Formats: sequence, structure tokens, C-alpha cells
Amino acid sequence: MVPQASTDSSAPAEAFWHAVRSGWLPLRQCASCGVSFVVPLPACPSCAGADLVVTKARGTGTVYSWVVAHHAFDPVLADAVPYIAALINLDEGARVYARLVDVADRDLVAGLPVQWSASASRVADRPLLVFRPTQPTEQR
Amino acid sequence: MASARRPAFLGRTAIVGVGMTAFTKSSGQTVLNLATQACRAAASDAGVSLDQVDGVMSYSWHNDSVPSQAVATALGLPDCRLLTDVSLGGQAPCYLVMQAAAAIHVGMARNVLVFRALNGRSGVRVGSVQVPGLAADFRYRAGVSAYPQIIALWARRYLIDTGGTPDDLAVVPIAQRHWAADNDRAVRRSPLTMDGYHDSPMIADPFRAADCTTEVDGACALLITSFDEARDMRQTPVVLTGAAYRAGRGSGLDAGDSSWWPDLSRNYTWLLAPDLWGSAGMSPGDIDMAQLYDCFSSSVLFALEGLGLAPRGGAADLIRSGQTGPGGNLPVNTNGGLLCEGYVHGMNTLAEAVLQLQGRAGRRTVPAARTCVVTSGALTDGSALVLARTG
Repeated sequence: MVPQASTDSSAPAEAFWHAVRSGWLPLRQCASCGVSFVVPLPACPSCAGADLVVTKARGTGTVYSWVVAHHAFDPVLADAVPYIAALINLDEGARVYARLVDVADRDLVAGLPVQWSASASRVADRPLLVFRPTQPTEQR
Repeated sequence: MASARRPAFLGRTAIVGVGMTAFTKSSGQTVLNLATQACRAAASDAGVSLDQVDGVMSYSWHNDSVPSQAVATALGLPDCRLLTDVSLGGQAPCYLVMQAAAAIHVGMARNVLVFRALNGRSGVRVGSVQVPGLAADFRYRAGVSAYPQIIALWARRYLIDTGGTPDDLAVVPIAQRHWAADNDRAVRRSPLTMDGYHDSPMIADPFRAADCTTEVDGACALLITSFDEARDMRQTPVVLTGAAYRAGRGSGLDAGDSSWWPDLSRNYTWLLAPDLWGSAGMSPGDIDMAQLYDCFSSSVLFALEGLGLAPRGGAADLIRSGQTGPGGNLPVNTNGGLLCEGYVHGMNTLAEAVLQLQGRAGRRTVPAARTCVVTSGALTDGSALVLARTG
């Protein structure tokens, strides 16, 4: 199990995962400079602006990089390997760690268009962000 | 290269003593015992009595070590004027030596021990310990729970942007095994071929086991002092000639958070290089040797290119040419690196640089090397030193 200490129980994080459980992906947008981000920081990481607006992300983006995990460092993931974890560039500009499904690693390329999947968003009772290709990729 | 940023301690402070325990899979000892042994050995190596040591500094990763205060007490240090502990990872070794040198230069302390001690194999394992915090929570939920996975995302993006292949990673451990063959401390010493590399188990694609450091139990310490005092000590002073630490915008909410960093194909070494070379008044061509932090194979490629020792996308070819191996023009990671010697969190990377410049690296010694660049760290922030031999 993931130790309790790894969970940030601050209100913004709870609100984020509550929204994910409810089926929408919250995005913070800086009212001053327009930069968007996902992890709920108290201020804009680009201009330090404190006037942040929570919006609903479109849920579309592209694959920036990925790792195929063959060894489960966390025992809770022992049955999940091999799995693909990725950094996804959301179309609004934010970058987020997520699980990638419905694609073989040999079909993965940088820039692959992906879509957030609200339905498959739980591992060991903890919500997580899952993306899948916008168009089915060739499954060889 | 002109510089507006030259720390005043450069040229006036030196590393003199080196102390290390054995690096093992199970030390059977407390971390305090390991730390105390390495620190005692470093002071003794320098010919400095413990009564004269008045500073101790260390770094640890989420409580995997003991405080400097505990070590000072165990060593019976009578007059401590500087005890510092930081919670940092691989970016710390050069950074702490810089801070020790700065403290010495302004008169806060005279003789400072900088150490790293851990039961990194039998106890808390740095690579997979789960750290607290907001970003870590997002990362772990996605299944990025350990450093091989975190840095594999960087290695992948590097290969994408440079048009590289997994063989570009393979050349790093293959080359470093040549050095490790002559290092009695190294955990991995047997030769590695390209076929052997590809037989190595896939851990976090693109990383195979051969791309990853080996976690060990052990400790390593250095004694830092002023150049004036160093001249009267037992070992040849290795002078701090260049120094820099850099973090840029978006360096993350913790040491593994790469989600804010704009370009995962370039790490902190690209940011740090102008400060480092400027502080030393040198350029990459002036460097005889490099000891580059290598928790994973890719970080050697990143550092070679970030520091300007190889062109963008050209680090693997430099290694293939043999220039970084025994007999080459730019020896790199002459202890076999963390990949082969074992993971004492980069403190041993710095120790190897000192031993080389003092002519004390055994069969690995590169007699012609007078200058060495050392890096600490692999991701969004890190530190580096340029060291020079005297005499």
C-alpha cells in the first residue's frame, strides 16, 4: 500500500480528486497570464499571480514522454505490470503524469493524440488519471 | 571566459582528505557507525586530528541517515561551529562542499567534514522510497513511484529529440565497466558487452537493469579546509576552482517532480554550465577528466552535452570513440561510476575526483589529469565543481 504520508490531504488536492471522481478534470488557469496547470498550486508557477480560475479541461492532449514499467517498485502495482505511465501535454498547455491504456508500447510515438478517460480512473480504490488514444492505434 | 559570478572561496579552499567504508549489500551496522567510520577516516587521511574538526555537514533522503550532530557527538568533536543537515538527493554533494568552502572562507569554521552515509540496500532504498507531498501524490497514482521510472521519462524524451536509440544508453554502462575492472570497491566489475546489455532485464523501459545504479550500504566523507591550512596537511590539496548550483523556473515541488520542467531532454547541467565555466574562468576544452553523477545511464549523456563536453546528441558517439575510457582524452567516471561502484548518492563520485587528482586511484590513476569537473544531480536542479590538482 502507498503510505499515508505520500497523500497530500490539503483541501485543494481533495477537491481535485473529488472532481475527478465526479467525472470532470479540473484545470487552474491564471487570470493574469493565462497559463494553465493541473496540480493545485496556490499561485501561478509562471507569473506568481494569485488570481486563479478553476476551469474544466477538455481532456485532450498529446503524449510528451512515457515509461513502460516492467518492475513494480510499489507492491500495489505488482499485478499491473507491465503498464505505461506518461507525461501528457494537455491541449490547454498543462503537463500531467497519467496512466496510458489501450495502446501497445510499440505503437507509441511522441505527440500521439490522447483523450482523458473518466471511466477507468481507479487503482486500489484511489482515483488516478487515465488517458487512451483519441483514435484506436494498430494493435499488432 | 569572463565571469561576473565568481564565488570568493574559489582558489582559496581545498578538499584534502577522503574516507570511505566498504560498499556492501548488508553492512550489519548502524548508519551512525558507517558515518563515524568514514568521517574518522577522512580526517585521518588529511592528517587532521578530530580536535581540529569544527564543522560537519551532511545530506539525507527522507530520514535515511543520521544528523551531523550525532556524528559530531560520536566523534567527540570539542568545538563545533558548523553543523548542517539538508534533505536533498543527488544534487547535494558538490553543493555541500561549496557551502563548506564558503563557511571556511568567511571564518565560520576551519576544517569541515562533509559526509553521506546510508544503509541504502539493506535499509531505506532511495530509488523507491515514497516521498510526501502534492506532486508525489499525482506521480504515484499514475504509477511513477520510483526513480528509474521518473528518469526513464527524461531518457525517452532525450532519445526522441536527439534521434537516439537504446544503444546510446547502452554505451554508458559498457564503457564504465572497463574502469570498474580496476576498482576493488566496485560492486559490478565484470565486462559488459552490447549483447549482455540487451540481455539485462527491462526495468522501466527504456531502462534495463544495466542502466541503473546498484544500491549499497556504505558511507563516504571528505575533509574541506582553507588552501593555506591544506598545504601543511598529509595529502595534496585539491583546489576548488569552479563551483555552481542551479535550479531554474519550474524545478518542481519535490526532487522527482518533472511536470513543470519545459524540456525533459535537457537537465540542470544546461543551465548551470555558464555559471560553472564562468566561475572557473575555463571552458570545456580545459578539462582533463569528468566524474558525472550517474544514478542512471542517461544522466551521463545529459551532463556531457549540458556541460559542453560533447555536442547535442553526440555524447554516445564520444563514448563509442573510446575517449571517455582508459587511455582516452577525457576519462569519465573512472571508478565505474555509481552504475558500477555503488550508490553512495554521488558522494563517491566526488571522492573519485579527489583521489584521481591526488594520484591515489590505484591502477585507474590518470597521471596527466590536472583538472576535473564533477556533477551532482540528474534532474531539474544540481551542482558541479571544477577541481584542480596542485603541485
